[in-house]
Amino acid sequence: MKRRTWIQARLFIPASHQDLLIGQLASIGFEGFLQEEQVLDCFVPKHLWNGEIKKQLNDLLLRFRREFPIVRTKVHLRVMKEQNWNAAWEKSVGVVEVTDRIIIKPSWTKQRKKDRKKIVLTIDPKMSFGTGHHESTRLALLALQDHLHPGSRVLDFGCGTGILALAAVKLGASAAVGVDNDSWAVQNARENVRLNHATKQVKIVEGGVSAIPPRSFDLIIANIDLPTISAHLTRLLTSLRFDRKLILSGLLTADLSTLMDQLTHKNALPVEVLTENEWSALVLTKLRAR
Amino acid sequence: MAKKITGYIKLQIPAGQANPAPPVGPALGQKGVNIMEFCKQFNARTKDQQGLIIPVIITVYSDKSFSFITKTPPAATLLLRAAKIQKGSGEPNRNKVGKVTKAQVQEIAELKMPDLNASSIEAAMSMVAGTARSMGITVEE
Repeated sequence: MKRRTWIQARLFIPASHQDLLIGQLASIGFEGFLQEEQVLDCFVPKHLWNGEIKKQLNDLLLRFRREFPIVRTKVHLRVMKEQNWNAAWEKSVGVVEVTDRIIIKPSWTKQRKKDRKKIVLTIDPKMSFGTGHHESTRLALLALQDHLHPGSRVLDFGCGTGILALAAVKLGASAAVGVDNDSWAVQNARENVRLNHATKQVKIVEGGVSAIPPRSFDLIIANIDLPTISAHLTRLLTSLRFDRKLILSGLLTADLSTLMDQLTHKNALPVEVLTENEWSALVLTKLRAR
Repeated sequence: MAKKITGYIKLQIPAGQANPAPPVGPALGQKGVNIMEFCKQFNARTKDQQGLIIPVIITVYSDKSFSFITKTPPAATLLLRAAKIQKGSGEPNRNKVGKVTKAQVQEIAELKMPDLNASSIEAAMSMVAGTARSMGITVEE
């Protein structure tokens, strides 16, 4: 896989003046900023680092210096290649008992004897979402184990590590498709599918809604966020068979009413809400056309 | 017992769009924080401010857990919004691209005072007005 690359432009500006400049740096194309006491690191994808933005940065610093002489116009550049920045955190990852039936462990730990009768999923998280450490994943898994019928075909939209698609087949689904628009997630999910010897049952596809296979599913699960779920709710319901379940997670409890309001015009009925801390998951049934 | 704090990370990133790309990935990864968990929470909390850059201060604890607070968008972004323009001028002395009122400058200065380390509201206003000038935005009396 081609690794993505960024340019880090380090500016020498005291913390007190950084906020004044950041909005302008954002308006010429920088996408993120790390603030320290005397330096400001600005980041832009390498393919956007062209003559135009270089000139604009230079001009911007000169203009700014006229008003604030404390600011230096020197810029240090560094190329940053994509890597697994989550490696340090990963080392601290152990076995997680996500639900009463499901255990998640990284590949570098052995299965515990006491977990013999449970479903053990091997998930190496890297930089994808879905490790069993977050409430939204736990709620999605709880809903999945309650609502999944054996033999079902499952769609995991926004699959991240692939944890939900893998859990689905371990819980009895006949097949699962995981879809994600992030190439990191797709690569990582495929690795996890291999780690769990599930390549025959779980397929991972890169893309957005257009990558969803043109067939009807018996269960669809999406652990993403409110804007993405809202945008694609109709499309997800289209891919679901009548009387079957759609499980939505990654929602703040405070946002549930926003989503419920959208349902009034859709052929879906809320049947269950699961909540932990500030997070909620919502289970819907697709109704026959009225 | 209170958890021991091991460090702070100060970032400004687009609302609702956090992902492991720099600065988020390297900055949080270095401190052993789970990057994806931060992204999920940040994006959920800032989804209503899409299109704006949001300052965020992340507190990291000794057990690698974290908490964070988000702040108002940076001063120049607020100025662009107040002047109803997308971008500052390339030649601010000759080519003025927008106007803001003194009251708007004061409003922004009050909002951003904690980040500017200004000793008084007047000092903060003068910093915001200077920023406006460097962008070709005229401050009207």
